[in-house]
Amino acid sequence: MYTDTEITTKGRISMLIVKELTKRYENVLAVDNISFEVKSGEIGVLLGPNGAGKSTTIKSIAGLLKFNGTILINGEPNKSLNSKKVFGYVPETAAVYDYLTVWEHMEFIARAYRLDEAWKESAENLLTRFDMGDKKQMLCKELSKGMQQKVSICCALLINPKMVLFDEPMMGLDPKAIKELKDIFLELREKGCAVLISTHILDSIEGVWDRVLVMNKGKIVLSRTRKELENSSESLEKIFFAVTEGVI
Amino acid sequence: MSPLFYIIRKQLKNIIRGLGRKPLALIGYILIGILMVGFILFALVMPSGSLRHGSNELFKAIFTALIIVCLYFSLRQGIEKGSSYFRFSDVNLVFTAPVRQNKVLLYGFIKHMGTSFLIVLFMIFQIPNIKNNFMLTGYGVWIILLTALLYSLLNPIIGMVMYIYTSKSKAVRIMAKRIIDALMALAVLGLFINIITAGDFLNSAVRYLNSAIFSWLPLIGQLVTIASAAVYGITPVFFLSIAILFFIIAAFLFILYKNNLDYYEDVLAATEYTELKIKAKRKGRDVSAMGKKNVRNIRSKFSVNGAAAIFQKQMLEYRKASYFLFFDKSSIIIILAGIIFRLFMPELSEFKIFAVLFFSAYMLFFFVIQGKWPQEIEKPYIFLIPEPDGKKLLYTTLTENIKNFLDGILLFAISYIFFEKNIVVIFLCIISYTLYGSVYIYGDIVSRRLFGAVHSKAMQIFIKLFVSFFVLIPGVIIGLLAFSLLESKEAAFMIITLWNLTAAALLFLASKGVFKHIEQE
Repeated sequence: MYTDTEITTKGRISMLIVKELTKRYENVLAVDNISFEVKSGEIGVLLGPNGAGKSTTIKSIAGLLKFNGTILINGEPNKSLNSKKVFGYVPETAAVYDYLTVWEHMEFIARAYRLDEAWKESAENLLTRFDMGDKKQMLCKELSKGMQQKVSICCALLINPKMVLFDEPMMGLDPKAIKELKDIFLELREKGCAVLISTHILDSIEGVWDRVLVMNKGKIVLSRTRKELENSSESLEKIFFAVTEGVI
Repeated sequence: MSPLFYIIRKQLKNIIRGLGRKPLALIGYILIGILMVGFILFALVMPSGSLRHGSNELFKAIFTALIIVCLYFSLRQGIEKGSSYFRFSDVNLVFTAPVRQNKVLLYGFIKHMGTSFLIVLFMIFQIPNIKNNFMLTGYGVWIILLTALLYSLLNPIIGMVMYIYTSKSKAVRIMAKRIIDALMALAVLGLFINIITAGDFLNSAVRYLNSAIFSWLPLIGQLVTIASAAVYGITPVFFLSIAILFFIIAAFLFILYKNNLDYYEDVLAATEYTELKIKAKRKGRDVSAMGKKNVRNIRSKFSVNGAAAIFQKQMLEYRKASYFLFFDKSSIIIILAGIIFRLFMPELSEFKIFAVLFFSAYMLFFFVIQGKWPQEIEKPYIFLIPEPDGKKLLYTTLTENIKNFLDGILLFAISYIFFEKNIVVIFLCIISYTLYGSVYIYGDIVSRRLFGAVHSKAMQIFIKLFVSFFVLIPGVIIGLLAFSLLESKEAAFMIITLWNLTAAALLFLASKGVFKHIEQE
């Protein structure tokens, strides 16, 4: 259930709420008490240098790690069944089963998530968009890394999610797939889906983001909306280096 | 050479420092170290041949068979993938550095000495077993360790030499493989002919493997002669064999050093394979499965929804990767190991079915920890699928349980044909075997829940082994006690089965809610 503060004036709900998230790996504090929100119809970007804690944050949200703090997706704890039904996750390295074909991956996800029969059409569309239409019967172990990443993306999007987590999604993709993925980000936003992208490549999210969260050494060191940045007349690159390296 | 020694020195230093930062891992390694030293001391002081006195010929036969099989796979792997002492970091940094290639080769060889040392350490665990069954000489333990050390030094050199000479063309590679296969087939054929004509498996196999012809074969002859000195004592031939072996190693190194100084290209593919192997080992997986080329062309539609789809997916994977349904390489190894173990233990007539069950259950542990469940938690899907944890757990482990049941049927059907005519005992053995598998699976899950992400894979395996055996050993002891008191195999196996059933059920219950408490690997 949402509280009033979680529903904004524009009626956009906070699809993802992260409160006081802390994650420690043995002696390393990977994520240090961070809090942020991503609303429906918003593209949030976790930006930061290598080792900033972006992937750990995304993995914690996806429920793959144990953590301290609170993570709510669509108003429910991230590890609850109801929240799992509504979010998709694209990992940093493609997650595919070697002995399943591309189409069998689609079928497996559709069945596991109990999707209705319309999934076939969605799957066809997604695979066509990523130039995988003619590779449906290929085993995933026979695909290149980039193609495997495309399968991972298709699996995450097939469930028609209300929120999608992308962890360095452009890695290994060809220019056409990158362009296609950027278009998909915008389409998801149009449909009211919340999108959270983790990346360390500033150029890769240029023109698509609504809210940027810059992470460094496990903390969020800067949070800006696109409008705030435009009003300040500073570039994202300049601010990024200023807050991560103290260089202006 | 100094920059290369610098790498070796620094890497060693960093490994030790890294352990200092992880006290739990350090304690684990210290425990393993104490265990190793304990094993060496125990192996040295324990009486030889106390359990039974296996003949020296049997000892020699076992080592001959072992060396032939190991060399066969070494040569095959050498032709297919070569062999490499190097890692990708060496390829990227050392190969491209202005260092002479012969020095790089020497650097690789020194690095490999560390690995060889580890192989020898692991051999130590087998020595009490050997000493129990054979009358070793006073220095027998050291001779076995020396054989292991020599073989582990020789192994990568053979691989590299084979690769260099056969990688020039596909035709040469195929021809070399055919020659090696034909030689192996000839050796196996000889064994079968001996067994069929004599009609006695053990004696004819021992006689055959003691044939003089094997002593004359290069590498095999020398290694067998050296190993045999553990029971026969040191003779001049022993020193001659060591000298010949060192000459062969030196000759091979000379070939590598002199004839093919441009060996970097040859080593690249092998290094890639080495990296794959290391990756597989770190994940606790069987490396042969990673490079598996033959996947059966099976297409199947999913017909179930929710968590059951995980089961159907795994069934589909099994059908594609196995010879027939669930029957795969692990089935063959477990069945062969169980039967061969029984054949080499002929005088334990009353205990033979116990021996088959316990030994195959021991082997099963190592296959279960590489099975479907550990592979499933390497992917995010099992965590993401919106189904109750209990259901996901049940369906994720169901295929493995069914596979163990079917393997159990096969193993004990063979046991029924050959030496155990009590159908009730056979039935109970099948159920027990399956339940051993279940205890390993759910014990693994509980271990992950209790101990979380453990420093190294070896440590994880050690913990799982400890947890599983801690749970299972009381059942085995009570079962064997019941057998000695009541003289009823049915009662003994019933107790073992019920114990395993209770353990598996309790561990399954303790595993529920696991996806909230463990992390993706």
